[in-house]
Amino acid sequence: MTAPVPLSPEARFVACDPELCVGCQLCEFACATVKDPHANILKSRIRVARHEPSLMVSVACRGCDDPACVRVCPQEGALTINVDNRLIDVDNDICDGCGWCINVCPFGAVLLDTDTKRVVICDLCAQRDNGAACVEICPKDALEIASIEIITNKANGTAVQALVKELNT
Amino acid sequence: MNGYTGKALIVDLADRNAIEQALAESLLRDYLGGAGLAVRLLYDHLTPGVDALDPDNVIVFSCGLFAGTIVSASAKHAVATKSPLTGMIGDAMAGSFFSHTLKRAGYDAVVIKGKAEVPTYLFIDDSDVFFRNAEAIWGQGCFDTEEFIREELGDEAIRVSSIGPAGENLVRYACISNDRGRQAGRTGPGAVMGSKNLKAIAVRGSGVVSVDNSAAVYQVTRELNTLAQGPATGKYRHPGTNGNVLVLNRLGVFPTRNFQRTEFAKADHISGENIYRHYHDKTVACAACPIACEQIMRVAGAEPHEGARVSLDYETLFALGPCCDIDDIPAIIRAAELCDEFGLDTISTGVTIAWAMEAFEKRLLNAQDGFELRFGDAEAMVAVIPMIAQREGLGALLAEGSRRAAETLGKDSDYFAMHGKGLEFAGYDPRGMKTYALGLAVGTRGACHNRSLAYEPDLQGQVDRHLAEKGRGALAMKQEDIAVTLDSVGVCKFLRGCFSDMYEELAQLYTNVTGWDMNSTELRRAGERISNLKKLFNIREGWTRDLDRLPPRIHEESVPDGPGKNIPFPREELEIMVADYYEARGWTADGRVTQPTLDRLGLADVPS
Ligand code: SF4
Repeated sequence: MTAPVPLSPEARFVACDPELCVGCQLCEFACATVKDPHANILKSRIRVARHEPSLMVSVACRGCDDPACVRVCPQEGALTINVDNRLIDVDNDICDGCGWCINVCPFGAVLLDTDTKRVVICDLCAQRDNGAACVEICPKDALEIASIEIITNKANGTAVQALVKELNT
Repeated sequence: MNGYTGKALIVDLADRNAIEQALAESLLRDYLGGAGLAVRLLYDHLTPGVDALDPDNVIVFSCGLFAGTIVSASAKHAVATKSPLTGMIGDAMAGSFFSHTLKRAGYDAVVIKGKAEVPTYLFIDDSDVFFRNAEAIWGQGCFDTEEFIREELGDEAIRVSSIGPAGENLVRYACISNDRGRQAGRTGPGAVMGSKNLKAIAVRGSGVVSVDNSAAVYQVTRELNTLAQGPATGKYRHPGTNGNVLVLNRLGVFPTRNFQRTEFAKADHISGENIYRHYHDKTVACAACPIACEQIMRVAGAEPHEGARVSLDYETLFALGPCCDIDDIPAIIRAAELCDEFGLDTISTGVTIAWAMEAFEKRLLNAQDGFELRFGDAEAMVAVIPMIAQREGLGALLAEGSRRAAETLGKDSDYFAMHGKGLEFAGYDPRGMKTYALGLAVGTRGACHNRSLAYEPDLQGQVDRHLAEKGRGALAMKQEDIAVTLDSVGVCKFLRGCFSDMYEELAQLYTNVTGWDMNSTELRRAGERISNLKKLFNIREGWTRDLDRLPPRIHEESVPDGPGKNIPFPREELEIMVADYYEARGWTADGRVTQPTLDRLGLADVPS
């Protein structure tokens, strides 16, 4: 899958394989369970897009090279690039929930927490012992923490396999 | 409240009026949710004796109790109404995202009464309710209707339950479709919507379904999800329920040619494995489901019916395939797609067509305008589906279902009308599965495999499936109560193999989700209560003892093929088991619910 905007080569993000995803939304539930005391699914940082009948894929922050959300944010310092994974840290004291970042994110991966009125973005469950809850729960192993290089290689591999299969039949 | 919302929405389509009704804790505990809550609300709101297609019939949508939470495979919702096909209780279940969304809009259930003046769709926008004009989509199929409504309302997250032309034209087995591939399929609830001028219910739900102990629920879900990748659900994941074909064929209970035979010569060709290999397009799950049983099949280029794409499961395959003596896979996929689009229950459609094919074979029916249905004629089978939905030509007769069609035709054609109480059989031959035969005969919604679950002891070898004996009554009852409990908590039956002590584990989940104490004894009693309430509903609608029977073919013709070949199933055998079942239920010898049973189950308050 090629991204419509360049991703940072250093970024580590939750990547979904649409071949494996069945659109069950368990990743959203798991994220909500970890992030919200009432498991409110609207608090999930990952979103599943279901286009029935046959296209299902989930998306979270992918670590853009030059993130639009950071660029447009009018509150200096509310959004910063995390040094470890290149995803976006939100400073709840500075963010005022204006939502400009939500509008410009090409992946729809910035969401508003309607209780705190602050935006929320995937942080790979940095505080959690078992790592990202969505990856943990996904019943089809469709999710992994990956970089753009890993998923590009994988996509190429799949394309080659498909070609070989087609040549053999 | 946790888990529940504690509210039902009561809609009157004639007055364009919607009010909220509070649901008491005691009611929710007693009827759980889903099917249980739906049947109780229907019972309370329906005037007995009204015709199923009269504006005074009531239709209830009810969320499974775990809907809106992470609990594994908990996406089911129930639809309950008086069935236009059976005249008895019509309770249907559907999966995917409708239930979760309705719960998040703030309702455990929606009760719909009256008839709209013009075609209408209901839009439940969280706490707001709108009655919207549906004239522009009246006549359209279920897929287009969903798309249209989402587009008109401008929100991809809106979930829609709708009817197609079959429901509009009051086909007695019209279904209600949601999320493209899922249906509240059986007993004709789509016709009830049609009779009310109700094209669809659209829901936007952006609220929270809060959970009392979300860490515990998460933990249990993880464990169930892990088990759900193991042998307990293996066949559902690959190749899907179509994997039944070879198993049932080997056991000689695979209904072929309208149950004239029980082996299919081309079983290898239409096996789940073969279909998966050549036509599989995508696997899809319902909300929060770790199994993902929905297998989308697609006919690729250069074949007839190119581009047909639909979720194909075993019952659909059996009904539109071998039951009509058809092995043409692309045609079966196309036929299934047409049923989904026009909003027809695939089982009743296929089995009613098979009845007509046999009537043609026996020269009881004659070609109409040059059109006839012959066993094995795939193109005629495909062609008749829109005719049924539109009630055109021969389709008008078949739209009534096999029981009424046979009554109209006469000439003893009821001998081979394969239904119980008017509901067409699913894809197992009861002659070689006698516990299941009992379940079909006594089933409150008619001959339904899914409500009875009594095929399980037969197929798993817990009993000698060719034997009719005492004890089967208690067994059929046990299976029925398991089914109704799952239908009420809204957990998919495909998960049941993952529980080691189902009632205990579900009771714990209940407590962790709602924060209310629940134990396995109380939960089990709730299941029994709901089973009895369905029976009370039927008695109120005029049920009589002679309805608990099977079609003559089952008793007159011995098992035709397979390991049980030539074993007979005399009517007396069934009678012994039915009596045994009534006794196990604590009913009278003629199948009526007794006062002590009502008292024991806390049903004494139910008006008769
Ligand atoms: S949990 Fe996995 S399979 Fe389910 S929607 Fe998320 S990514 Fe897809």
